[in-house]
Amino acid sequence: MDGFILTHAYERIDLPEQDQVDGFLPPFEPQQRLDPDHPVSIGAMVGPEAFSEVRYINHHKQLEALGIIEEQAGEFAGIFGRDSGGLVKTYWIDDAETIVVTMGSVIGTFKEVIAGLREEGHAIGALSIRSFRPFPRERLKRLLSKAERIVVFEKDLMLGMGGVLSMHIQLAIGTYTIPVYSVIGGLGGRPITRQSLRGMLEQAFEDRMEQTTVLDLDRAVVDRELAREHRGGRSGPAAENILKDIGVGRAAETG
Amino acid sequence: VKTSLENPVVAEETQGIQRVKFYQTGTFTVGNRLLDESQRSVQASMERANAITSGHRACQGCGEALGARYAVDSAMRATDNRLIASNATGCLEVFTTPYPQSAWQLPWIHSLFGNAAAVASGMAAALIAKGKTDVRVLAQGGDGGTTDIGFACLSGMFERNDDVVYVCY
Repeated sequence: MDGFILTHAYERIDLPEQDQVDGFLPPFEPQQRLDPDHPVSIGAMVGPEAFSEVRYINHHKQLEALGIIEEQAGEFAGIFGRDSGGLVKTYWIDDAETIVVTMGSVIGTFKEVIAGLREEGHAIGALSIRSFRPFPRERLKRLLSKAERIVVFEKDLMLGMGGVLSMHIQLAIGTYTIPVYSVIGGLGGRPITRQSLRGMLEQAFEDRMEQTTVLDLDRAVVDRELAREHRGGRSGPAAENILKDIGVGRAAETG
Repeated sequence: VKTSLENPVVAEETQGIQRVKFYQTGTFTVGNRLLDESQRSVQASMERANAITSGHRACQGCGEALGARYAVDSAMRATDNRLIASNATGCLEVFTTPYPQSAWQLPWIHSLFGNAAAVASGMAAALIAKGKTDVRVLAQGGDGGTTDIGFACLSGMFERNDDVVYVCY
């Protein structure tokens, strides 16, 4: 949903000057050209005899990119006077006992909530991942090493498994024995409100959270639908039933 | 070009283009049937580009291999050999370019299964940006890469009226 929200709802554009761009980008010198005077075939098929090596080189270069991304981010900021991302962006984490880890535009809402909680004396900070591939494992391990708990917030749900990002964070922190709470929200474009995030974080401070939480989940609706299905027979599509239950749209009218 | 039935594999090369070497005469094999009456005795013009050269890995008698050679050779002739091509993933791509070999005698780039038309659109746009007016663009794909997974890119190419000839085999 981030794509929709960013391109259809915000639409702010920062257009740099051409000489800034020329100062940042290297001269255009492609390694291969489609030139009738010097014909080449680009992208020939590789089979089992070489594909493992090709694939491994791709992986190796991704790992090398971890350093390059940081380096380029610094150069970009110097030329354009604004941040381009880098690997990870941190917010108030130096003395944070609770660190929120997330990605994308929701970090803005979190910053506001965290600013409020800081005023009330809570030691909380946030960390936004700017590069998902390559994934900055070592960097995250260092940054998260002093936290007492981690709350991973993401807008996806890997069915039968949980949040994708929270799995990555578990992997990154490795053997640290700090609780990692996975919170999933914003599915299907549901608004992520400051109030909901605040309530969720207050529970986290007291370690009263389940391993995986779906933000603003209407448990009664879920239970009702599951019960209906358990009673047997054909209950119809779940989404249709749920819309009827909560009285939304045409489904409610035709009941 | 000097060739003879006794020595049919001798072929001259001009600008990286291998001349055709196909000498069967007076039959109704595919080469003859598709040619003008006047050309049937040689089955194919000696001036043809032979854009997909021999040695590729298509099955014997492969219709796509023959069809592609006719289509690309025609496009080569029409553009005076100033042609570059994109090629969707598929049979044609697989049997012509098993690394490190290539059967293509023109500049050629392999695309994803579904985006040969979009890659060709980009090539045409790049030629405009570079001010190269003498080079033309060909895109190729199979039925899946064209009308199934590739239809969105193809539709966009037509909608923008990009200067690309698209061939579906």
